Amino acid sequence: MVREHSIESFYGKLRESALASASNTPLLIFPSTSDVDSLCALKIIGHVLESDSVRYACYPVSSFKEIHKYAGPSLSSLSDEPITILLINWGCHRDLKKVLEIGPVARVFVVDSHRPIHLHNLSHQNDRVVVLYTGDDENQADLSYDFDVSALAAASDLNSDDEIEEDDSDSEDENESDGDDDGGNGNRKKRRLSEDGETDPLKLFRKLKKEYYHMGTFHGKPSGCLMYELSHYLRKNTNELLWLACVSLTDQFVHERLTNERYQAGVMELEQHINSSGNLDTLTSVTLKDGTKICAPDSSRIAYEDEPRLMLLQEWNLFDSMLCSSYMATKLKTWSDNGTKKLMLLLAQMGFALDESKQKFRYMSVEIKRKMKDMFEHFLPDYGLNDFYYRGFLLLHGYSSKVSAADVVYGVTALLESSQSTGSCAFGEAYDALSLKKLEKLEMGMRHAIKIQRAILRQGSTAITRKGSIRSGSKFRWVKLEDSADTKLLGFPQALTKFGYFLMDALREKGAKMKPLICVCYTQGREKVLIVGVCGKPRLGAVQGNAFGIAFRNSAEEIGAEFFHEMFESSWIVLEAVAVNSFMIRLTEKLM
Amino acid sequence: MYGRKACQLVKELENSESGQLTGFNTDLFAQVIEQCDGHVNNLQALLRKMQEVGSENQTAKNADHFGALMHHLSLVRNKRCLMAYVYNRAEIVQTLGWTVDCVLPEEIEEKLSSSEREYFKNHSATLKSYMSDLDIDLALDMVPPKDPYIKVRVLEEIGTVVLSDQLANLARHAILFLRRTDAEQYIAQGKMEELTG
Repeated sequence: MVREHSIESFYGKLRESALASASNTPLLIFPSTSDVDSLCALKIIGHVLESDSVRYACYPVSSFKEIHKYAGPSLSSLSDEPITILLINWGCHRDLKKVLEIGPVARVFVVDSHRPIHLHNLSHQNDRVVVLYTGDDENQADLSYDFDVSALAAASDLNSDDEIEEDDSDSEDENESDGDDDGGNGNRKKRRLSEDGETDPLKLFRKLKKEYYHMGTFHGKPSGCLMYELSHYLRKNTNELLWLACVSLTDQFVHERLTNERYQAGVMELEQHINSSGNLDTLTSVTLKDGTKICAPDSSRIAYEDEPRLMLLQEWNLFDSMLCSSYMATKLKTWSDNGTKKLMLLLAQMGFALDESKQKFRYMSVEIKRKMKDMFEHFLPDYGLNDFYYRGFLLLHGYSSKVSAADVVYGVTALLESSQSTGSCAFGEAYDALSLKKLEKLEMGMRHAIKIQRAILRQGSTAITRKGSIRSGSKFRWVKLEDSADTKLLGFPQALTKFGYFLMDALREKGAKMKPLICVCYTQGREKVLIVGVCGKPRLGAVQGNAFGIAFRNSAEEIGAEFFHEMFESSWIVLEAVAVNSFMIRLTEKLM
Repeated sequence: MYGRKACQLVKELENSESGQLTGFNTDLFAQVIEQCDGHVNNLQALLRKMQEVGSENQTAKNADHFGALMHHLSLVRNKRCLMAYVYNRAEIVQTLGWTVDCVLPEEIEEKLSSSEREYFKNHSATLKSYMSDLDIDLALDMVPPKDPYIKVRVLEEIGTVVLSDQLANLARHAILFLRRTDAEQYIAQGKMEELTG
């Protein structure tokens, strides 16, 4: 049984399997190094496993094949020593059994927010792979299927070669192998599917399968939130874990991986958790040795508040944050003279002195901080900024520190994608920065995030203002980043994605028609390029997610260039720099 | 000034963090010994002179007496300082014998003088034979741990090793949750760090 509907039984199985193999190897956890959500989920599940005394070893990975470096031969060999593996936030969109060459005694558990899930991973016949995919998650997804995914998965044939669905030419042999291999069981299910009118079950199956994969990629519920639900169910939840869940929801929000509606729903759910775990008592009294009672703030508590869409305020100053934050910068066009004038005018209208707002935010006058919200809400609509405030989370630590979940996401993502340290080392830094006791590491990350945001503003404004930098095709636009200093900062998937969203916002403000955008950025000293496809913020009821994955892979294969498509998001690909032009031509033909 | 060099030696000891070794100051140590030799020569010369002159001349006798006393006291003081220097270092070396397994890390080894190295070797050999006689590992932590398990990060590539009952790949930067007893030796060698919070 491969699709697991309930978190509790998923964990139950994981624990059982880990304990069964504990006599020869610890549970192997492979978190993805690509996003903050995976870090949060790792920390939460780690806490749960620790309290159950399950020994584990955790190796951060950034591509599919890396796992073999750590897991050793027992993963795929025929030895009879069982091995249990947990993948966090990667893997379910590829056929894991095939891609990872899983042997008969290895068991792989997957917690992943990437969608769609490869049907083979969900199939009943594939009992080596267990994917956590709750019914709620299926029903509340941003893109909804009008058919039953489980039934479709059950009908899929494990031996078929449908890594990514293509045309119908190879369907004949698939037809035969279907009948031979699964026996009656598979056929019966197919018949059930066929009740919706289509007569030939195989044709219907193929049609639905195509529909399923061609919807493109999108994201399900953040893994961190799922894992928090687990800890809650097991009564092992703490405030610290709740904060991690808040951060992982905010991660999806900041990187535009979910619709506003689903974010709101997620926020409400977490707010309830926050209320029920006693975060509302703002002050607690402490009794000293001699009996005097004093009021002291709770050591740390989580609060939810309307937050301005200004980046990294705590580590920056109001003026620069307004100048550079994507939301405000694209609306006011702060890179132009006109835009800066508007910004100054806005500050003047609100009555904030310029030198005061250029003061580091922490030391800015308290009066301005107090008036800020009222003033913004009063004056911003005149400039067309209507949804400047959003519901966000804050972590208050005594009187001394206050940090917002969004800033944590920016800071930790910057640490994950900093050029000084790579892969697993950067993961370690980010892991430390997420713990509440090491604020200095987080501050370091935030300072790096500020550098990245400035680079986004620099490159974004050049691309917008210089004619011909953004090339436009019929189905998509594309832009190439060549500046040698800024490509060092932006040559990472998440940073480049942020850059892409910045450009799309700016183009929308210019009144351009909305089209998906492909960003190309030189990395590794101009020998390679990183290509990221961005499709715009997911909207409720959309029919298509990010459909670049399949097209990227096919185009790269067809032009015969060396490429690397093993990263955890199918809309990310690394190519040889010389092949970029032929790749783009091929891609344009494909997406006509 | 007599005794200043020896004093420097002791000061050096005092300025270093407690439990931490600084490099053995061979130069200064030799200089102090040289000074001692000087004191001995001077002292013997004065004693001889006093015997020759006899007890008749009261004034000369006093000056010589005081001179001899000065040299004698400086000698004793230098000796005390040297002893203190060697003794305190020896104590640190001894505690190392309890915490580090037989082989000293290079950065500590180069701070020891040759006789200290010898001392460490003999001391840890003695400890080892004593513990094997008793069949108890006396080097373990005296305070029982709260949790038999510990979360660590691997700081240096160690490779695949057999822990008490499991086979684990201790790759650099990996995070592990394992038995405390398995991790202790690597933590002592600085190859792992405990993760808290």
